[in-house]
Amino acid sequence: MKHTGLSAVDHRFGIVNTARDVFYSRGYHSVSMEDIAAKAGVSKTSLYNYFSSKLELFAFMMKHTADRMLEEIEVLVASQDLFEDKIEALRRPMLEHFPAMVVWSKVADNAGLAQGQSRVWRILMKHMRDLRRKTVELFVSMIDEAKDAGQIRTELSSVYLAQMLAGFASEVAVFGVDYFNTAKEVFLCGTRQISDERSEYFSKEDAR
Amino acid sequence: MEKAKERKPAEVRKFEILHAAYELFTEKDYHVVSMDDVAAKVGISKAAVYLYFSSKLELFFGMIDQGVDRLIAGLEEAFDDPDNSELEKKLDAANAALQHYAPIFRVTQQLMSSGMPDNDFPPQLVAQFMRKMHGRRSKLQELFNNVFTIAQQNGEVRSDLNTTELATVFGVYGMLMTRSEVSYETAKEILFHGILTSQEKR
Repeated sequence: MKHTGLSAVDHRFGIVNTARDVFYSRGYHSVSMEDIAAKAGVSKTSLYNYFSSKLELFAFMMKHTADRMLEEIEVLVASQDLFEDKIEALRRPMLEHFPAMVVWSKVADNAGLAQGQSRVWRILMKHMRDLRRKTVELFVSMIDEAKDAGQIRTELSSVYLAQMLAGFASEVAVFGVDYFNTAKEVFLCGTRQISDERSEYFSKEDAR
Repeated sequence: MEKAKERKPAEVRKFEILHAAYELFTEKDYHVVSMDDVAAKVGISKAAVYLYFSSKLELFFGMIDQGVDRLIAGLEEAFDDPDNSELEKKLDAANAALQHYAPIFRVTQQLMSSGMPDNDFPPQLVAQFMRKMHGRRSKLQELFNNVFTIAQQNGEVRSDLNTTELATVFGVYGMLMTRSEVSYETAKEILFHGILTSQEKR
């Protein structure tokens, strides 16, 4: 290998960034390892030195993306005080990483295409389960804080609520941006017409 | 075979095989269930099972397919029932149906995440199954869209919410409920009233 001053790890990350762009714009199934090598400016052979298959490269990319997304969400959520604003803060990272989840849902749908790659597939599935678990943990602490602050109802299970929020998050990729707005509104305020107990509050609001 | 079994109509036989498959696949892991087990459960030869399903995976998919069809039929019937004119009654009925068919969602999920045993998962078959499931998902979406549209017309649901997206939101609850990740009571409470305390609302 030519000495470029970059370590193998840096190379891997460089390739992953290129691969991400390619996967985002062209999906998974229509992209070949040649395409990624050409875009990254490396030979196909050296690409295979880093990743033994396209699925392995994809799994690495997803793990990297998931880690970054979680870090971003953690910072953004911590920077807001109100529960409602914390939920709104999820919008940007979700939309930014939306393409990753779209590609992922396509890969997952065509699970059978990964024939002969059970091991890598299981690793990929584990990454996605880890992402889900960590997301739920993060949401549980967010919900507990909001409960302590009296911003949200305390009688509902934090874990259930966090699972719900994580469920919404994973569906944004499938159903798009408008869905985020509705899901947020329903999660915060519900679907019921303003009931008698609440109308008092709303009429106060209207009068202002 | 000692005695020639009485020949049953193909549809009846197929139903018996699917029923046996449901019992076996929801009780044991996909990988340990064999076509011999299925044949034994129905009381027919393995060759007879292969007349209806050419592989274990095809049988598995057939079993899921049938379950989802029956779920949809059950929901349609419940939603048309005049006793269920209220939104809450419709959702209660939907929950009962989802819980009843939860095992088929659970085993599908398990199979997908356990990884595919090499050579045992023909890509075309999986892709075909997935396309079918997407169609069913749209159908479910449509059913719930209808439920929320009617509820909106009856003044039960806020008129500023898009019913198609509400159906999706409820679809997420439904999915989580079948995996026991959320209780129906919590999901319903959030769907109706939301998470915020009344002081915090708007």
